[in-house]
Amino acid sequence: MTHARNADTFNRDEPRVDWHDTALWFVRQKRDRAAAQVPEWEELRELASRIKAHTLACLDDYLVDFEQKALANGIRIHWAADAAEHNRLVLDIIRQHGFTRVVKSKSMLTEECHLNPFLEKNGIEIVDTDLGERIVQFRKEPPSHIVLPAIHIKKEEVGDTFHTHLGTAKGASDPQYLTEAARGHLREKFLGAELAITGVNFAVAQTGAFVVCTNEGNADLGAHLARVHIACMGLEKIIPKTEHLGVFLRLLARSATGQPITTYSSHFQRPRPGQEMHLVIVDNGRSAHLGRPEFRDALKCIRCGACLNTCPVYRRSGGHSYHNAVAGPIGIILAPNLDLKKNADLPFASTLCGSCTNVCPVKIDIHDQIWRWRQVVGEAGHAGWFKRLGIRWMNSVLSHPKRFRLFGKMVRRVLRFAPFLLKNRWNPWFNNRELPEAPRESFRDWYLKNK
Amino acid sequence: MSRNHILEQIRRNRPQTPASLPEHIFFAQQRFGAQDNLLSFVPGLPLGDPDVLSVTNPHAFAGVEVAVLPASFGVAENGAVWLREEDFGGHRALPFLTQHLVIALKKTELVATMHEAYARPEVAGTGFGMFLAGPSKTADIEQALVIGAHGARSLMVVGYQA
Repeated sequence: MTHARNADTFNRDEPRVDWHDTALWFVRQKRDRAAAQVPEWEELRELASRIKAHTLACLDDYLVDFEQKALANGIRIHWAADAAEHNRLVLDIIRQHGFTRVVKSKSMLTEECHLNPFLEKNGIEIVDTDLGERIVQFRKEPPSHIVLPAIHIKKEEVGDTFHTHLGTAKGASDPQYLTEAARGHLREKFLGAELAITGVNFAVAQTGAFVVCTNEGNADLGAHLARVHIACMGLEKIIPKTEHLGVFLRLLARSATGQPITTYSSHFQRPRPGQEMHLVIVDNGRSAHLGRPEFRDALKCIRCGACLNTCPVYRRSGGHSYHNAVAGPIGIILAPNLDLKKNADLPFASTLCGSCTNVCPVKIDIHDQIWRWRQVVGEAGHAGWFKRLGIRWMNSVLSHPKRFRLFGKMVRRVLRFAPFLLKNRWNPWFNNRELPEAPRESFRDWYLKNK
Repeated sequence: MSRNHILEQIRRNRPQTPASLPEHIFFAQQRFGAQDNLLSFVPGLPLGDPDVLSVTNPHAFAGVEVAVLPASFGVAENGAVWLREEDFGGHRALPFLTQHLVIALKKTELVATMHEAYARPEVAGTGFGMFLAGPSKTADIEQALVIGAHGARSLMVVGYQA
């Protein structure tokens, strides 16, 4: 199912699309207000961009530095070449201890690796503890946004889900009431968990420490109560120095939700006494991505979600339309690296408006990369016969002046005398578009007459 | 004449703001009620069951109502305070399990931005530290902000003169 098809389905409920659109644009506006309060905002973006670019250029060195320091801190480091190896590594650690009860805070990496279904298949209870993620977990859906997993769900629907799974009152939809119910339920899970899995927002090569940012505190409730803590990290999350955290933490929450900082920014450097702390460094296509000069800057991403919030296509098609763990503009430029054929439709899920590039805190040239991926898709023959033939035909008309003039005359005639030939539901251009009023003559004809 | 008399009366009778840290903490205790499950790690203000304070099992803190913790410094640009584990007995789970949090912050220990924050000596070297900017919260249910998600339901910062 292509993004276009999925988006069609999403768009059948227009009031709901408007609601989704408005909700996300509101988050974009909060980001703008927060950014406007930092006079040096653009300087911060430039700094962040350059720190990340430098890090990518020396990535192997920084990873080795980080590993050395982290090991000295008592953190066990593992390397996973792909999603399958990551999942096996995590399962091995769980099995070594004979555990079955695991809690997990938000990690798009583990979503990318499809960790949950793998662990469940192997008899492990894995509970997502971020409220939005718990909601979609109950509903057996993937998250639709990297920061706001349940942005596509209405409070009445959450109420129904909680009534089924938590026994809340039927028909209840008050967010306070529902959150309180989740608080009690998840507290039990935190206190009963044997192992906690978290993501990593930033890993610092200088100290071998890593940072996890949340508003709910669920990552910490997992990690500080469990005997074993596994932090899962994409290898591009490394930054060189502690002082660089100042730059990134000033940008992250403001870009994501318009807050000056998340409620909790937890810095883990050593396991607590008696605890085992593991960190899994995951490749899964990232080192290959690094080898693509036109696309490697996508690895600068700090997963803030600002590009999703601003993208008119994301806002009006929803995260599930992208059939990828990470949706939106950043998803479009990350996914084709993993599987070009499966994700060939994604670079076309864009108007190339460039809003994403404007809001990206690390200045990834997102919309330029989207356009460049289209060339790659086309050259690989994955563009689809309709598009291929259409472009070839358009090329032939536009490069021959006589054909162009004839085509123009034909279209003007049809629009004037037989508009139904173009204004019908079999013409994909006509769906959701108004066709222009046909002028009586072409500009060229007018010019020749009046010069 | 009346003017001075009136002003004098007002000055004498108006509510007094607590001057010292112990007075602030007393005020916090009053606000939250029972003293039984209040724990304090503020130097010079030991409060709470000493047996609980010496546990190693983090689950022991599940019943704590109020935790009073000392912050190293505050960050002006975002209202966050830096807390490190050595300042609350290494009990990492405590700030998250407690229902309410009271933070004691010396008024002189403020920095303007995160850049200055990361230059502070208290940030380096700790096994676990965090920037704490408020009570636990979420807006995951239709963007409605709910305070008190999984962590503390409220946060009070008490700024005091050292």
